[in-house]
Parts: sequence; structure tokens; C-alpha cells
Amino acid sequence: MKTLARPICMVLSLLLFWQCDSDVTGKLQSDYAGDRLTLSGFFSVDTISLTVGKSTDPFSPIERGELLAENPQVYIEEEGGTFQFKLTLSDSVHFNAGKIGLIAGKKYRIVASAENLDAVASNFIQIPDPLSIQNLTFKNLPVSGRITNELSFDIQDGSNPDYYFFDIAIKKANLLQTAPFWVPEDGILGNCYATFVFTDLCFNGKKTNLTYRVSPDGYFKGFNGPQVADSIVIRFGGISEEAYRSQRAMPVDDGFIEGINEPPLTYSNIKNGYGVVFSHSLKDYTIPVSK
Amino acid sequence: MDVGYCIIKFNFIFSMCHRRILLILVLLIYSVILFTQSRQLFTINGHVYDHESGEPLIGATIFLPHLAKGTVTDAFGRYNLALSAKDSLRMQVSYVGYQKIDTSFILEKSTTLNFRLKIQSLQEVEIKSKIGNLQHNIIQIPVERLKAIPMLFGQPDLIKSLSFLPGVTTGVEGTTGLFVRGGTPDQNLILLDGATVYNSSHLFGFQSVFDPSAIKDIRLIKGGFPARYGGRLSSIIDITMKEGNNQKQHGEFTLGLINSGIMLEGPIQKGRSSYMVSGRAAYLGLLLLPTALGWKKQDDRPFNTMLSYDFNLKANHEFKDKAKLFVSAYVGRDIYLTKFRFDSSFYQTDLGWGNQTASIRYVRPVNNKIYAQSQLSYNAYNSVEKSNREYIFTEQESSFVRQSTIQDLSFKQNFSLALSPVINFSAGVELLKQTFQPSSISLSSPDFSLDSLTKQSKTYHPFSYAVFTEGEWDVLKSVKINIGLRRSSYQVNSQSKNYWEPRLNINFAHHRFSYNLAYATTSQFVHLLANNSLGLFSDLWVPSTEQVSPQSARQYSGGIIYKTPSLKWEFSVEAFQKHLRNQIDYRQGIDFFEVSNFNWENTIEKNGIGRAKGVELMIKRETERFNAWLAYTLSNNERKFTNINGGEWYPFRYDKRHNLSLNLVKRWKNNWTWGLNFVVQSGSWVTLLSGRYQGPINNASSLVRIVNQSGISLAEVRPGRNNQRLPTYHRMDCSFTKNYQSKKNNSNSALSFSVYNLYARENPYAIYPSLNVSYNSFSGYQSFYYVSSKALFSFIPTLSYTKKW
Repeated sequence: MKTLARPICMVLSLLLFWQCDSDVTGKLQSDYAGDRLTLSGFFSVDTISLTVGKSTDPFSPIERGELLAENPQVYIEEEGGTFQFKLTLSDSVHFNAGKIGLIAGKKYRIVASAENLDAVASNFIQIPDPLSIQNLTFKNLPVSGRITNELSFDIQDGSNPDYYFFDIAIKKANLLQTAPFWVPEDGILGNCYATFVFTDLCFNGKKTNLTYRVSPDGYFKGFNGPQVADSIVIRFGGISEEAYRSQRAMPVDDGFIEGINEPPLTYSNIKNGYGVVFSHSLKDYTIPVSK
Repeated sequence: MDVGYCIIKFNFIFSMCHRRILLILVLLIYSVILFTQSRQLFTINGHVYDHESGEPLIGATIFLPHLAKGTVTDAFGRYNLALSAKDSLRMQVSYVGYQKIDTSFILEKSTTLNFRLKIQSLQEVEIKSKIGNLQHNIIQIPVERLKAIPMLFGQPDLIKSLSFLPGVTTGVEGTTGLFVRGGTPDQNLILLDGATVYNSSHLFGFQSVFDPSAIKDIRLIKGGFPARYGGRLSSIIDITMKEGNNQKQHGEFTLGLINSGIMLEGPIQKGRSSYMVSGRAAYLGLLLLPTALGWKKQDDRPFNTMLSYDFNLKANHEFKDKAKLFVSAYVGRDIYLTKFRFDSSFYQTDLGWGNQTASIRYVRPVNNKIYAQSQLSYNAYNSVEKSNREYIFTEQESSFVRQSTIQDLSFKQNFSLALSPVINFSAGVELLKQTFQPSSISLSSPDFSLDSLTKQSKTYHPFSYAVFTEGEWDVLKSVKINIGLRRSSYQVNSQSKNYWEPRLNINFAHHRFSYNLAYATTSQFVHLLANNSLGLFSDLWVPSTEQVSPQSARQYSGGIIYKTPSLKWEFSVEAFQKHLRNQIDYRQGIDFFEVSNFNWENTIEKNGIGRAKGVELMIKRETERFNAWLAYTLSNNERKFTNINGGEWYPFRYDKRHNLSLNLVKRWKNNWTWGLNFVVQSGSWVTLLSGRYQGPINNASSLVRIVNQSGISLAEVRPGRNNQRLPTYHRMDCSFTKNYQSKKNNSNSALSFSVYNLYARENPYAIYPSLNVSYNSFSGYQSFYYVSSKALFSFIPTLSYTKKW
């Protein structure tokens, strides 16, 4: 026991813990509710693009083509009206159409059916009113020797839409590319507006100014190194709530501890089935790059 | 009896007419005062101390067998009894692990009697708790008993030890966040010498911040809360630091696997004042030292390290008029550092989070019947995240600093009064001024045209106060009623909210049975935004505001305790039902980085409700050489939010239907101690895939981007919150301790060997789906999901050494 009196006996044991990964699929009871018809896509005044399929158990292997619905039929109907239009199948899953007489401000729903599956329908979705942007300005703000363009424009928020979409692409000749763009201040440090889908939370019913920045250089490769884009294309307009809610249901990876944090529930506005259908009133604007 | 019946019906009447109840209560108390004033009363009061150290003993029992009357000492080791008898009295004073004092005297005047109990010699002597003093809803276990429970990394952890009790469970494997009767960790009021501790976790939740060597007493209250406690919904964890030996110098040194500490205590003025100081540091980071040595910015491998520390300080002084002054302080912090190079940049992130508390308490007898306690306390919790990016070629730097802070300054004044032989009364007031700065960010980056940005979320300065009155009434020899009323008021910005919180606790003892009924309404003015139970730096404490209403709860409970004639075995059954209001949760798709935005009120779901119910069973055997607990809880715990799960009820993530734990500690005559834990409980709930289909892979809006991003792929279906239960959790731990006593220098030491997760069960702490895709030239691509689980802590042997002198 004398040895215990000596500090040398104060020895740590080795750190023998480790993290084990294992497959526990078989230990879980799947709550899969059976095959359902699925419906996803969007419609606007001049475009309809929908996808029809069927769902499956997530833990069952599937091969290409197994999620096709048999003989799908798709209609678009106006709320409280007599308008009904049957869409034509473009390939095995897609239903596309151009202008068929849809009117902004009115509500429509998509109804789909297929053999051996229950019919499904979306909710009635209002096509947002068209929205024009005003006082569009565009200037170059060189930062660290790189071209940074700042574009700014005003919008008058009305009662409809409540949800907006904003996207930027850069263009050289006929080639379109995505480019990093951001909201200079509030988009980083606030949530008044952002990229892609956002709400009118901070400017409901008011005229407001939106500002974005984009770096149009370095994304097209040429013989003499990266090329600066010729023009910038922005897409802006109203979008229905369904698109916003599906955005909120995106899984978030906080990059910290995988599997600990609560995953969001997937959003679906399809009764008896799964999927997301939404509407929009988007418009494209092309602006020459400011160098 | 009519008055007694009215009190039993208190809750019913209260719900009908809040204000009248206060009036009735006041009239009742005053009528009793007038009644008792007509009789000559004597009081016996004093303290119960440890004979050797002079440390006051909390929860020691004072029992008068002839009168079948008793009480227990409070947080200062003090007791107060009012008696009308002048005859010879017999008084028994006992405390677990100490020799009982049995004395007789004649009561002719009000008297002060102090007792000094000697530590029990190692004989097989049972601990004879009196039936009349059995406590329902309140669990007070000697710290030395909790220290004997084998724990992760071999370190005694007083908070985690509580999870072996019925009605209490933990979240993720090995963590300290307690879920008491369907509540959440933020709904536990953790008091360290009366000051609130917000974050009780170190090392990502795997160790609590309380250094066992500095703690004298820990008390858990699960229901029937006395009115003097408030501000949280689900439990009170009242922790008292050691006051320090006021007779001679002592010390304790512990060397463990992940941390080591030292505690020193001794008299400042012998018999009158003493001090206790302790420090503990986790050196997990040292184990990562090999990765730190020689690490350079150019290295591809990352460098990570983590440290934590705690410092406790307490000093007290007893004045000649028997008044006592206590000063205590605590500082603890976690530090996490990571460095890595990615692409052409060098990144460094420093995370730090921790608590600071300080309190001054002054306790003095106003006269023989009245004690006054005053307390001024300050506590703060803050977290800081600093990120720095250095562009290796351009040598430019960008930095990001985020901070979150809470500060509390509170004052409490309590009076306790022994009104009569059958009534003890207390009343008090609490004032609390808080400052919340949920988020403060400063940013500097060459990516942006602005050189730097600094922005803070709204700062809140809520003020709250509470007034309470509480009476403990021995209606009959075998019936004891604790009735109380607490009025809480909360003001933030221009809004004020008031809550009446009635409390009722009725105990009835008959033969060897003790019965209890309890009711409590509670309110809480702070919320914790956390998407896990790890106690991470990302946890954001936020106040109730105009938009986010204070939480409130109602809890009903009832139970029976039976003690065998030998008093060695104790059986208890308790049932509870709890209703929670104004719960908050993350809005869909929100992560904690987004919550750091400045409109945090818009990033959460509000006004959720919760319900929990359960039955708790416990079998306990407590003797000097053998301690055993078998605890089982059958419970159900659900939540409901308008915008989650389609507005339907869903199971709370840590709703564990069955929870059974066994803890055994055996002390052998040859100074060996053996401990064993066994835990088996239903798995936690998780949200998992319920299907998949062909659709937009990420989100609908990607379909309308200028450059098509998603196309059509396989989308996931996850329609319901917490739709899958993880596999059953079970684990066994054991420990062996050899105690050595040296008569030469009057010191003793202990060498412990313990194993956590003895049979290497891989209990998942996290679960996530992964997609398996394979290609076959015949059938093309084939894919399916599988679920992987991550398990921690398989078979962890630990050696630790403690020396006391």
C-alpha cells in the first residue's frame, strides 16, 4: 500500500471509448403507409410543368421505372368555376403545357389519378399577380480586385403576393451559369429578405428596396483564363405559399453532430398522396455586366 | 375540520375565484395566529452539525417520540420547533451515516439546542427513517451515496446520478440534461447556493458542472413544490456547497480519467468561520496533444481540443447573535478550439461557454420564533463563438464573432416562523432583474464592401417579482398539510403578466404507510431554444416577450410509501399528471445558426401544449453496508403545436414509455466497495423517412431557378414528427473501490476501478438515413435507404484515485 502513497500511482487509464456505426434498419418498424400517388410541379399563366409518380417504402430497393404510376390522368380545375383542362403526358412522368387560359389572381388545383392507386388532388392555389420592379440600378463595387455588381430595385408589396422568388444567373453568349450572389447586409444578419424564396415579413404592404450583389467574373473559362460574363439575368416575382413552405421543410445540416438535430417534416399539399404543387408569376430581366 | 376541508378543496375554489383564495388564506393564517397566541408556547431551535468538521447537516431528522412530532433541518442545518408542553421531552436527532443522539430534557422556556453528530462506525446499523417524516416528491440523498454510483469516465456526477430515480431520465447517451416527469432540461430550476445555474453541462453534456468534492447536499423536488420555489415548471434541483470544516484544515485530491481536482477547507476563525475552495479541470484536450504537437497551418489534418474547468469558493462566519453570513461563488467554462486548412484558407474557431454565480446570504434569528434569510445573488451565462478565416495567398482575413448573454441579479427575503406546535409559517419576496442579449454578431470580411458589420439582437431587460406565503400544518398527529400561494409577476418592455400559483401538499401517515396528494401550478419566464439535449454553446436562452408567452404548468400527483417493520426496505408508488402550456419549438427547417438571427421570435413555433402522465415505482433498501434502488417509471409524454405534425399530438422525443434502473452498492468489511448499475428503457423517438417518390429532390422552388438545379429525382417523405422509436436502451456499469486509511497521518484514500457499459451494448445516440445506390448492367441503377446509428461509449474502463487528508 505504500506505493499508493506515491504520486506515481496516480495513473490514468487509457481512453478506450470509440464511436461505433451500425445498421439498425431491421430493428425499426417502418410506418410506411402503402403506395400513394405523387404529384409535384408548378403552374403559371403561361406554363405548366408537373410530375406524376408513386411512392414506395424507403427501405425497399427500387430500380429505374419502378415508381411510375400506371396510366396517369391529370387535370387542372378552377375553384368555383367550370374551367377544367386535361393535361397531356409528355413522357412517362411529365405533364407539360403552355398557355391554356389560366388567369392571375384566380385559384386552381391539380387533380390526378392512376390505376390501382387512390386519386389525389392539390389544394386550390392562387396564381400571384404579376409584379413589376422599378428603379432598377446596377453598379460595380470592386472588392479586392474582383468585380462585384450591386443591383437594387424597388417593389410595391401588395396583398398578393406574400411570397417572393429571386434568382440570379450570369450569361456569356448563350451560356447560362449560376454565380454566387448575396444580400449585402440584412440578408446576412437578418431575415427580412433573402435569396430564392422569402416572405414580405418586414415590408408587408409597403414599397421597399431590395439589394443584391453578385460576382460575375471567373466562372466562364476561356483561352486566356476565366472570362467575365456579358450580362446578368435575374428572375423575380411572386410565388405561392406552397413553394415557401416546401423551402422551410428543407433538411438543415448544421454540420455539428449528424443525426442529433431534429429533421424537418416534408411538406406536402397533395391530399391522399405526396408532393408539392405551387404557382408563380416570375419574370426574367437581363442586364449588361457593369465592369 | 371544516377549515381543513376547505383547504383540501383549495384548488377547486381557486379555479373559481382567484382573489378570494388569497383572502381566505390570509384570514386562515391570522385566525390560527390568534388561536395560538392564547396558549403559552416555547420554541426549541438550533443547528445540527457534523461533530468533526462543524459542517451543518441538511435534512437531519429531529423527532419527539412522545409527541409523534418531528422536523428536518433546512439548508443551513437549522431546525425550529414550537411546543406547548412543559413536561419532560425526549428528542432523537439522526442523519444518514451518523450516530443518533437520543436525549431527554424538561422544557421550561424557549431553548436553543445544537447537536453535533458523530459519523457512524462501520456496523450493520439500519437507517431508521420515521414513517411520519417520509418525504413524497422530494428526494434528498446524501452526496456520499450518490458518489458511490458508477458513472461514465469513473467521475461521480451528482446530476446524472439523479437519473436513476423514478420519474427522471436523460436524453442522449451519457448526457446530464434531466427530463423530469415529462419536462425538459430548461424546466429544471438548478440552484447552487440559491443562485440559478443556466447550463449545467460540461464536455458537450457528458459531465455536469458541479464538482462533487465541493458539494454538501443535493435535493430534487419533482412535484408538490413548496411556494418558496418558483420560476421553473418541472423540478427543483437545490444544491448546497460545503461550508468548510471550521475545526481543522482538510483537503481532497482526485485524479481521474478526464479530469482532476483539488478541494481545500478549513477554519478561518475556529468554530466560527470557515472556507472551502475547490478547482477542477478536464484535460481531455491533453489526450489530443499528439495532434497539437507540430501542427502547422500548412497541414491537411485538423487540430481540435477541448478544455473545461470549475472553481468553487465558499466562506461563512457565525456572529455572536447566532446570525450567519455566507459568501459563495462559482465560475465554470468550456473551451473548444479547432483549426484546419481547407482550399486556400486557414480556419480557426474558438467556442466558449460557461456560468458564473455569486451569492451572499445572511441568516439570523429575529427572536425565538422567527428566522430571517436575506440573499443577494448574481449569475450569468454566456457563450462566444469566434471564427477566423485567413486567406493564405492574399493574407487577408475575415472574422466572425457571435455572443449570447444572460445576466440575473436577484434579491430574496424570507421569514420563517414557528407559530404553534402544529403550524410553521413562512413568507417572502423575490426580486429578479434580468438582461438577455440572445445574439450579438460582428463580422469583418473582404468579401463584402463594408469593412465590418456589427449588429445586435434586441436586448431585453425583464423584471419579475414573486411574493409567497407557505404554511405547514399538522392537522392531526398523522396528517400534515403544506399549503402555499405564490404570486409571480413578470414585466418585459411595456407588457406585464401576473400568475397565481397555488401549491398544496397533503401527507397522511398510518401504520407503516404514508400517503400523499399534491398539486402545483408553476410558471416560467425563460425558454431554451435547443435542438438537442447536449447543453451545447448553441443553446439559446431567450426571455418571454410580448410575442412569446411565459410557460406554465399544472401538476397533480399522489403516492404511497410503505416501510417494512425492520425499516430496511421502502416501497413507493407515485402517479403524476402534468399539463404544459406555451411551449416553444423550432420552426420547420430552422437550425441554431438561423436562430442567431435577430428576429428569433419569428423563427420559432409558439403556444405549444404538452401533456405527461406516469406511474413511478421504487424499491429501496438502505443500510450502512448495502444500498439498493430499483426504480421503474411507466410514462407518456406528448406535445402539440399548430404548425408541427399537422397540428396533431406527437410523442416528445425523450418520451420513454418504460424506464427501469437498478443501482446496488455493497460495502465489505475489508474496505472494498462494489457498485452496479443496470438501466433498461424504451428508446427515444426520432423522425425518420416514411417513403420516397419521384419529385423535386430539395425543394419546390428549385424547379423554377434560372439554371435548373434539381431536375427530378427521388424525394423523401417524412410526414410525422417522431414517428419511430429507437431500439431499447440498456446498459450495465460496475465499480470496485478499495479504501485505505492511514492512522499515521490521519488520511484516507480510495482507488476505484469502474467499467461503463460492461457488456459493450451499442446504444444509438444518433440515427440517420443514408442512400445506397448501386449499378447493375442488367437492371440499371438500384437504390434503397438504410438507417445507421451512431453509438458512443462501448466498454469504458476507468481508474481513478482520491486522497483525503
